[in-house]
Amino acid sequence: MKKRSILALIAAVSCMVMPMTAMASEETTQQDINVTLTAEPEYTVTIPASVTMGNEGTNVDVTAENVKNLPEGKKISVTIAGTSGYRNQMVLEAQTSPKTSIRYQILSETGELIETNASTGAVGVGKEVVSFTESGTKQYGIKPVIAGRYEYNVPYTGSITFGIQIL
Amino acid sequence: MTKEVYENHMQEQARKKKTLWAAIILVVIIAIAGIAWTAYHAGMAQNNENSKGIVISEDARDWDEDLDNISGNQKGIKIPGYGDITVSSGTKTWKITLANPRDNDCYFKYEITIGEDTTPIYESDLIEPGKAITEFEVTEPLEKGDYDICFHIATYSTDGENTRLNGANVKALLHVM
Repeated sequence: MKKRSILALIAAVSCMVMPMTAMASEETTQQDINVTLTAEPEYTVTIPASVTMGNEGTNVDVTAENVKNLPEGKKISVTIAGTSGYRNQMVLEAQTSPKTSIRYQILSETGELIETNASTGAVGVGKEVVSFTESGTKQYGIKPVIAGRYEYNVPYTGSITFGIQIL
Repeated sequence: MTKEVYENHMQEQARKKKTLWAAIILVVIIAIAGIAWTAYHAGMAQNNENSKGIVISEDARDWDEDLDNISGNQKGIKIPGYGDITVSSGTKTWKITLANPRDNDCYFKYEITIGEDTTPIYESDLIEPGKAITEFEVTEPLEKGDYDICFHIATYSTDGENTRLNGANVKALLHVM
């Protein structure tokens, strides 16, 4: 009987000590965790690489994809941030002699006509072309202004820098 | 002059001549080694520089982010955009992914400006499609605060002509903690 009591006591003490040992080991194996995060893109916007058009102009697709964490009430705004033309004029130039150029206009998704005109003071920089609140494809129109001195059968080229931001 | 003196003189002359030739050969060897070294390093640099003098970034690594493709067959350029970005104050090393999605058929060149300052605090070399720079050094660390950050992305054709294509200025809010 005495022997049993001693064994039971030893067993009880062992049970009490073992978790304490485990707890003690948990305390002594604390681990520091360091995480260095890298800022990743949260959406992509596909802009046209180049646009080919005739006298009547054309419609151009702009696509927003992989839109993540866009706060409610915010949109991805795509604007004209600049052009290859002198002083960001919306003009296309040709390698003619003498050099000739033609203006172009953009009709935004909302129907706003965007153009540059020195006489009226119209500017294109900052004007919104399309906007997105989720992934999808939108269109804007672009057409040349056939006026002034120009030549036929000659490519007129230029580029646009788009402004993209969450507003 | 005795015969012995004459012979000594001739031996002395021959020794001087040998020394002179040895010096000339040594100089020629050093010159050839120098030219070879310069040519080798110029060649190494040229490997990353195409005929138009534009340099491909060696800092860019593979970027396999799986992006949706709902633009179908539209021939366009995928521009990555950013939400709010946070970096640490006092450090010149920033961890921001500057990517060129793999569907693109053009090189990307990033320039980063802060606020109204038009001087870039960072300029990348050309980044190939499917690659990204994930860590880079800016010219000056920023103090704590919120700033407007602009990623100027210039795009160039990969056909060897390096024709400038449509580009983008991507703006975001930068928190410096």
